[in-house]
Amino acid sequence: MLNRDEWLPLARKLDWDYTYVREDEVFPQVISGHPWLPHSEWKDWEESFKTSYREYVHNQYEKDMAVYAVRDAVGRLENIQKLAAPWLNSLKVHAAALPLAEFTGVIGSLRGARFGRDSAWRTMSTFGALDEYRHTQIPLLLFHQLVRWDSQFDWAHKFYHTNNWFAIAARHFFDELTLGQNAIEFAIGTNFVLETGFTNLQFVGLASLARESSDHMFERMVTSIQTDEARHAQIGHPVLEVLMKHDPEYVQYLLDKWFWRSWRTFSILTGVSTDYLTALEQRPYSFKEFMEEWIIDQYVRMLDEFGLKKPWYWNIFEDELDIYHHMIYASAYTYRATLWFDFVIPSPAERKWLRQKYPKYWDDMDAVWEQVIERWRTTGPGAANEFAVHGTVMPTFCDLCQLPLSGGSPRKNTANVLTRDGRKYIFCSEPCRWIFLREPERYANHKDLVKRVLSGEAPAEFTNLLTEYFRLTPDTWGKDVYHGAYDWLEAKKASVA
Amino acid sequence: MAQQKTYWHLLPQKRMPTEYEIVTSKLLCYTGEGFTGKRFELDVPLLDWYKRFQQDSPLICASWEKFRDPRETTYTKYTEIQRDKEIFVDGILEEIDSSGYDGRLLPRWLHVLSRVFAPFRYPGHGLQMLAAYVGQMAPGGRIVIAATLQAGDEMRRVQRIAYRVRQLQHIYPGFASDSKARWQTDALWQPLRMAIEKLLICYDWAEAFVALNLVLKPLIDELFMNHLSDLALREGDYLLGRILYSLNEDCRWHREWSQALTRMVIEDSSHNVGTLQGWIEKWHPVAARAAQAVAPLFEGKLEDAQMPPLVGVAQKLDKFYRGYLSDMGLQPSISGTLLS
Repeated sequence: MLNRDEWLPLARKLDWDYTYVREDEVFPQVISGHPWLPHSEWKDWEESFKTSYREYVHNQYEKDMAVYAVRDAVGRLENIQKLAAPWLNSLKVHAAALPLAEFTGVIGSLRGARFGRDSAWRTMSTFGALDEYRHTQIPLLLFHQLVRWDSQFDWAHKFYHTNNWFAIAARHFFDELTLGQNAIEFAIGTNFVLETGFTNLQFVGLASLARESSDHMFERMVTSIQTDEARHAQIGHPVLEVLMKHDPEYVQYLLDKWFWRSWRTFSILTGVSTDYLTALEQRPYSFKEFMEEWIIDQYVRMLDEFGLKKPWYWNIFEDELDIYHHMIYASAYTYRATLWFDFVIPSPAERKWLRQKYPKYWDDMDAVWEQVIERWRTTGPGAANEFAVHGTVMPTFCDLCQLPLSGGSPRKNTANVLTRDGRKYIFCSEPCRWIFLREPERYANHKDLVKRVLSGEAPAEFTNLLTEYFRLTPDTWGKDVYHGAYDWLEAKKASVA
Repeated sequence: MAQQKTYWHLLPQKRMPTEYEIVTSKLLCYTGEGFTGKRFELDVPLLDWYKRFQQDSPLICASWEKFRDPRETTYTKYTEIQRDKEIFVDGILEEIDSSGYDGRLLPRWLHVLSRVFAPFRYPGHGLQMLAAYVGQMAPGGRIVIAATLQAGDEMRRVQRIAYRVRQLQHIYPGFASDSKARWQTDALWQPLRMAIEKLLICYDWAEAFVALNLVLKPLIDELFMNHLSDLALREGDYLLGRILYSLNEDCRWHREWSQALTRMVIEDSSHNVGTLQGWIEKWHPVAARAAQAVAPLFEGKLEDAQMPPLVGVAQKLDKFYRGYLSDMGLQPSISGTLLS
């Protein structure tokens, strides 16, 4: 066979000069993105993978077979049932967050496949769309077998179809990032920031947690997905190169915005898995350590490479590394019945570990857990007491990220308000407020959960909210994995007695 | 409480779902298939685009989820089918290299290949873009998937032509190096280029689907994948016919899923017949002109080629297309028939 480099160039550069229609009609700015440039500015667009279709279908078929072979060997229900309870709940978080978000990635990639400004870009995006179909399919298939054992796994498909508060936040993120986005912002936000900058968190970090937790099925799935991501993520670099020549200020804005929005999302998805839902002896590093080693250094190097600056909020971000996902986890524990997976209280040994890893704020967080533990001590353990150790007042949500106001620390909250056109908005952080103010036309009309309750769209009564609006049931809503019956908690109670 | 046996949305079927159902059902969340209603979570940049070109489309259906790809193509199945096809084509391409095949091709046929076969990469890429558009704007997940795989198939066709062109360039340096200029200026290509460019700015998702998969592609695919193959066989290029046969298998599936979708919308609402027929009236003449412009090739009139005519291609194409549409209860446009 001919070497790919010999013939593939004849299939990659296929733009022509339109004469029956105008170029700006074929690539309207609203859907191809800003800045609008004639094709002459894009004609040198190139990426390094240069995959051929022939190789693609060969490799992808082999990769799928390898994943299913691992499933057949170690991914059966009886294997999954042996995994530690906290890790299983980490699995439920990712099972829900992944597949249908990947499907919005199909749409975003198809946008690049049609409205990308050079044929090589469009061809690479066509592979990207095929990849994202794969990433929708594998988890839906793998988690399906678990539904009959544990109906919380039903949320692998159900999650994005509900008005669960976290689903609202996740859709708010993905609808903007992928589904309703133009080709250029998709390439920067998804291919460059999320897939190049953050994917290591999911696919290297999470894979090693899965390995340590003996979940070889999930480990194989995420590493196999990562090999696709590494390929189509390459679209971002060359798009960014062209943009830098024409509107570097806009590039800086897009990067800073999507870095922050991605940080919010991943600090929850991966942060909680790393520091809480993986058994202590199986944690290879803290979430912060992983961020520093795998994300931050690499991201800052990428910025340098393009002559870009760190985001203006870098100090805020670095401060959050020590606290944000801890605040979210404690808050979510307090409202666990609003979610579709179960939680654990960090044990004394884990709290000692967390204090070592997060010296800056852990004392403040520890006090929060002390209150939760005290509450269980008072009520005593047992499923019947779940709601006695649970929040009752609806939290407030940020008008940008749609997550509960968890910025700052238990001592110093960073929430801030804004009045605009007679309407009041509240934000969890300065960066969320800044993003809102840059493009308020995207965000200002959104109704958060509290407003939906006030307008009657969502029920005000808590149990009705859980069942009718969040689509949870007494079987599926989140609980304490042990219903407060921890050896160390009991032991302490006994010694007090 | 009885244990739940499948995902929430597949429970009403009251049977174990197939693998295809598990991995393709209700994958879009903004189209009102779940509990959220039909909405984006925020005012996305393309809010108005979706409203104009998807929600307000005249083609209607109570639930786009009813669509099923007749081949039930999961990702794994897709890569398996296409890998096998590519192995088949690889075998032919290797045979060409090892047997000195290209050195024996007739000069007049080489001329045809450089004028008619090699430039097809350009419209082929246009067809890839068009499938990607139908996919991103389709209101149902399974339609998104079918159109995505079609875009992949179009890329396959472009790449196989590119490979073949490079093989010929090894024997005949400079072969078909004017492909882009031919596509842009050769009279034989201009009506097709016009059809593709006009279609690229047809943004109603359903009209784009009809113009592409019910009009332009059936005609063009049949002409270039089937009749060109017959011509090649007669001119001694029997291996090209086998490559085109494999590529035409993809096109056949594009027609099959399109028929399934069309039958579904007609069954859903008889109003859709008028809408579909109106778009066929509009686009058939445009596509027919594109096919007619290539007719000299088959009629033995291509300059320098002086090949004997291939009898009845226009009639066969008309008959084929009429049959394709009538299978769905639709008709070609009178002004579009190639004989007129």
